[in-house]
Amino acid sequence: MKSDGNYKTSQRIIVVPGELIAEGKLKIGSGAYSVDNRIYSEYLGIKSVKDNVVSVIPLNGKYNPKVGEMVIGYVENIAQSNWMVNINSIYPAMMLASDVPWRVGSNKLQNYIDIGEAIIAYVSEIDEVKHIRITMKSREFGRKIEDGITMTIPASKVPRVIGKNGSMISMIKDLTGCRIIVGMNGIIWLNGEKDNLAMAVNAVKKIDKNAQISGLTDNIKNMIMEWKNGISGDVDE
Amino acid sequence: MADEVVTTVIREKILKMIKNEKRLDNRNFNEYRNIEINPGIITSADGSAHVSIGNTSVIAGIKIETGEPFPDTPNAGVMTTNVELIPMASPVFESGPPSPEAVEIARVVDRGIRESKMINMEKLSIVKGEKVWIIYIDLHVIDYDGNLFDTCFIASVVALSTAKFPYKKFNLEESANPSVPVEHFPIESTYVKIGNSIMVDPSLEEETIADARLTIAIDENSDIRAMQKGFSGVFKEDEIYKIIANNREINRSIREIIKGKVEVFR
Amino acid sequence: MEFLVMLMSSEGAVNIPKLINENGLRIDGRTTEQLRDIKIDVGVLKRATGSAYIEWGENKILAAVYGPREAKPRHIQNMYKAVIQCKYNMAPFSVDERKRPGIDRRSTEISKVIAEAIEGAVIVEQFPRASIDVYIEVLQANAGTRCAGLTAASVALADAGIPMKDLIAACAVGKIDGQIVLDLRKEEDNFGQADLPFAMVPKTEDIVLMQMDGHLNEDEFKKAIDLAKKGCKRVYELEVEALKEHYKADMDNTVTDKVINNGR
Repeated sequence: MKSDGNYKTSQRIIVVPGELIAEGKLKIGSGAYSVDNRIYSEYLGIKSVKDNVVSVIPLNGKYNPKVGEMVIGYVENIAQSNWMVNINSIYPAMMLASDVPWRVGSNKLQNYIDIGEAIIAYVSEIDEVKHIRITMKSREFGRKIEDGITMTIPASKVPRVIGKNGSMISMIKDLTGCRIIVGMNGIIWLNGEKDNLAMAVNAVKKIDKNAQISGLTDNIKNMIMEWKNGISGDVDE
Repeated sequence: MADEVVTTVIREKILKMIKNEKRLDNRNFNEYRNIEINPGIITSADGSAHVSIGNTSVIAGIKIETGEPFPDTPNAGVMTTNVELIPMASPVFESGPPSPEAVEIARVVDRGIRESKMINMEKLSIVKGEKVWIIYIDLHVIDYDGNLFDTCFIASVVALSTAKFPYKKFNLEESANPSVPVEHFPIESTYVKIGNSIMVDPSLEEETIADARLTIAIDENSDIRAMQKGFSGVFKEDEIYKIIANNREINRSIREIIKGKVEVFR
Repeated sequence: MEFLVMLMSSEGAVNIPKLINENGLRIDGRTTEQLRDIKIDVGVLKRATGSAYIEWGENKILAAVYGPREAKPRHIQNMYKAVIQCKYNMAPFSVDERKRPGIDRRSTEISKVIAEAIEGAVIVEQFPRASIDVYIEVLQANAGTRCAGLTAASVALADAGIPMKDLIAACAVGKIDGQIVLDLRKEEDNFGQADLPFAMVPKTEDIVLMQMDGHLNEDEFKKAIDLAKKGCKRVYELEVEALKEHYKADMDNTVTDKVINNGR
């Protein structure tokens, strides 16, 4: 786990805001803007060219919610009839008393979900000035988090943590035996036995830091295998 | 100041680990985070230090001016301590007049230095009853991740220990030893109580969920020079004795670290 | 400082010093078109969304960015774009005479012009109702702090992942001993004939900040702008270099640390 040497040759071009990233034929993707047929980056990020589309994956930044996405968040504030939930986005999301799978009636909302408690929910509505609504109702994952830990990575890195058709996350789950749920907003829930949990967290961190290199799945797999082979005696927790 | 929020899962995790006498970052109850000390980083100040405990980071700057002594202490100099919790340091800090939190930290730091007689105030007199040195300790908190009391205190002690009187600026005759007369070396340590467990150097999460807080300043002889209990929770008498007993050993090593840094710099 | 003390003759009279010597060099040995040494560090603070530290000659300045976050109080929210809020502040120990802590008229003005400059580069339309908060803390000052602060802020904004049309680069020009020079230091500012803080978006050369005090004729002004642009281009190169180096190094680090929560 000490050496990263084999990653260094892979292509990851860091670009800064305003940097020219393409001219001529390429089409413009996300994280970029164009002036006179030239395409420039909007972000500090990694340049990516796929199917003639050039885009920039930001290295940092908040979650930009889309309707239907699963998110993990925690309650920041409670009002008369709604919770305000921090979902790692610019704006806190609102969840009404009618958005939870329990009949709240005239009970206090904090009896169901209190400040600081984490939930898994879906983005149900976004208006033009970015008022966000989320719901825990009528979806398989909508629930309160009672155990395990959460960690946060930039939302832009989530696709890499999941991998193609879920290949990356399944591999980590299989090898570590941990339960993992990846919110599209970059908040990730993990649970498992102590050393395995630490390994799963390390794997996610490594993906975050090396998001734009090829062959990442194999690298992460090797890292976990190496650790598992060496675990017999001394894990300094 | 708005409130920090610690998520329930993290709170639970902390409480669970505490049962095994461990902390979220794997420290023991008697263990500080990594302490980094950089004296003399600000040349526009008469003494300065950048001190970090873990991710908590404070810059202390000393400015020394001349002025009149207070009428009730005509032969002693003047020292004032000021803490700025600038919004750069945390999403919950707001700009404006000093918050009660900032004032408390400043006063507790000031008390530890003053009561331990770290600085010989009599030696700050220039013309008896008329002119004295005025020492301003300004503490700029730039990153807040728990335990500002100790970070501010160490920064103040290091900055003072490396400060020099600006004779030239005030047209005064230079002295062979221009250093501020430091005669003692106090250490201040802060403990929090979570449930029935007591730990030193609280992280932000620990501080946020803590029931009670205790800060103790001791001198080289481990005599107590200042104390401050904080938060709404309570301590039992024997808990305090236990803290004091433990504190001796913890502070010995910290004093050595700080003294080493200061001496190298001088 | 010693330099200034030297100038005060024993009678207390202040002589106007010679700021450019017979070889065309300035008191710190620079040519008229030379910037002071500049060093930029990225991502130096943990709590802030983005941050940068700049040493520009004897200036030492921290910049931190929080947000975009919901703008508070609510009445400052704009339905169509993010508001940029800037707080420029000087630490009490940053200058020769201890500065009383708190906001004064000078820092209020500087905060305003810097916020406006930043709004010229940030794509604020993406964040209705939000605010982007920029904090600039001058730890040690030696003239040109607003330009150095704006430069650090620009790097901190990029570090925070905030979308921008381009970075902003800033530097001052001025007139000393009758000549137009780049990047005044304190003695040059005090005894010079003009000071012109300047910032632009390098790609389009759009000017986003410009102030002036002193005395310049039209030719001198044109020459000053020309020189300021050159300085900004050099500052821009340093910004890009700092950002890319930081993130290259960041990615090369192996992750070996233990479970650390990020669940705030």
